[in-house]
Amino acid sequence: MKWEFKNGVPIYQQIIEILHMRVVNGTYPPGSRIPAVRELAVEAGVNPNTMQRALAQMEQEGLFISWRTSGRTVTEDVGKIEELREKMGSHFVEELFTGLRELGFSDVQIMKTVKDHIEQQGVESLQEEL
Amino acid sequence: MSVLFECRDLAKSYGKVQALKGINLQLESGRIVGLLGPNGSGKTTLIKLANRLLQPSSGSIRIAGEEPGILTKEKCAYLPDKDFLPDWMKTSDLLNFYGDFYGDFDRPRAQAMLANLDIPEKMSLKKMSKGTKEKVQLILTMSRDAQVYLLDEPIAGVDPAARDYILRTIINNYREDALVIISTHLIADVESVLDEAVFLKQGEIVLHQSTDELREQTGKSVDEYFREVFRC
Amino acid sequence: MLGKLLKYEIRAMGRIMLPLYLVMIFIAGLFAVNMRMSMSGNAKALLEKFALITGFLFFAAIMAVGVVMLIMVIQRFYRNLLGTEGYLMFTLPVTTLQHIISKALTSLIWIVIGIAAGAAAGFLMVGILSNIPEFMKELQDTWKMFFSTKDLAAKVILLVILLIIGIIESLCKVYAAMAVGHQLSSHRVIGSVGAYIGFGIVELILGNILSADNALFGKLIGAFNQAVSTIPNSVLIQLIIVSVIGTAVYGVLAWFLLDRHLNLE
Repeated sequence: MKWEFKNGVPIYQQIIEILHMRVVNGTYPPGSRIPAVRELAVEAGVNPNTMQRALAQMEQEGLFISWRTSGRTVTEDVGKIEELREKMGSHFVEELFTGLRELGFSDVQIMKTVKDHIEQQGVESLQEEL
Repeated sequence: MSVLFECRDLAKSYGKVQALKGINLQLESGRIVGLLGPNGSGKTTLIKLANRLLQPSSGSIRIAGEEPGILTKEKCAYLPDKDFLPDWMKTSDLLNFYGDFYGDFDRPRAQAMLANLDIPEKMSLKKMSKGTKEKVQLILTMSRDAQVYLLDEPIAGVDPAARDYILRTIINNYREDALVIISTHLIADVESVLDEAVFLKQGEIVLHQSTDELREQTGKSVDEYFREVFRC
Repeated sequence: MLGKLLKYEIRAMGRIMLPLYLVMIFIAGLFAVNMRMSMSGNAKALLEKFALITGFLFFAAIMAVGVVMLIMVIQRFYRNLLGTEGYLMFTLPVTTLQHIISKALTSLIWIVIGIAAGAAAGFLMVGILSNIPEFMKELQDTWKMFFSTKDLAAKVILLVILLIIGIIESLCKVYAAMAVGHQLSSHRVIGSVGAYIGFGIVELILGNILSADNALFGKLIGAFNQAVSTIPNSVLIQLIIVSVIGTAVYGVLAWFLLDRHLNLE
């Protein structure tokens, strides 16, 4: 029931990451209503103040919009959401590169590994691109 | 944001043993604070002093600006870490009891929570399992609209599902004008619910900080940092 | 708040005492019926044997009522205030004084009800065994005799007051003894018993000291050696005053220890 949190990083930051994910992957579609602070806090198993802080930052980033009497909604600005998706995506790619380099892979080897992976997975449209 | 819990040079000794050594502490409304420390660190003594179950040896303690007495008892909801309800009473008797003595008792809320957990109103406590009894105690305490909640080891000795229920109830009951103090040594389960952590070691406060700040500064969870600080 | 405390306290004690009183009255009736039946004709021997059994049960019932009452008085105070239930009671928005009064008053009420139950049992037995109209007339005559003179009427009233104050004083003495025992960190029960005995010793000593150089107290001590009906009213009043002082001393002691020196486990 509770969200998983890892040690050493402030919980409100981890909540923000999870909320980013939900916006980007469509769990919270553009323009949709976000549950109330209390509800989210209970779902996440966290302090309402902590959840409030995370939501406030989502507002600051322009991803959530707060309405005076009717709670919060996800932004309708699809462009912004795309921006976030790309940012998160390139973050994963960064991690891929950092990880493989640490294992001693050169950049050429990294490309090959990625190609092999795609071929194995049998993703046809990409195979054409290759 | 008002200061609902304040200790000034508060000390308590039992004979030669100093349970609390002149502590200073201020806690504000709208927070859930963890009073963390091993057994014998003074947590229970501090809570008893807040409830006037003990008198200070020196110094003072104030709840919402008043010294512990009838006025503060009306504003404080206390959940001890023991079986403190009369065994012979039924759930309905207890609802009447709390309703009679506490003006801030929300009976419908209590009944809803009891119904949620399938706890019958006509069952006496002595016929209930330990886990069910603890839930009843928690429900009665959290159904009060008190200004200060003092929960002494609310999740110790309780199965994981009940633990989740208890923490969800605490979060659900959160109010901006109230203060919740959770005294426990089971930090890992509880830390995501805490705004602030107060470490109590041998009668002294060795730390009082926001939990997120603590995580950021130490790069550890509160539980991990706690184990470091209190390593034997 | 005191009213609410009383409500719960009366119920807590009543759920044990009331059935017991009813059983006692019932057994009294049983015994009386048995006796009456065994007085006439058939199956006399068998009924006489039954009468022994029911008679024994009746006395056992009276003993039981006495013992249970004592246990209840102690248990209500010890378990509800000094045991883990103390965590509930002492965090109620209620003063320590109100707690002590609720316990003492409730015990007094159930003791008085017990005396009434005993009288009811007696009346029941008499009613079954003899002629009711005759008995009622005798009762009326005795009642009129009690109130025939102002002096006698006053005496009856004073005796009742003395009985009530005496009960309250004894209750406070028991409470104070438990409060003293509670101060120890271990062997609290023995400590309470010791305190109770200690109080008795202090009372004796005080009594001796005071009667040695005060003729008044000498009269009081002497009063205990006389048949009740020959004690002059003035002495009764002095006995009442002594009881009131005793109640105050024990009550304040119990209150002080519970209010300032509470130490629940």
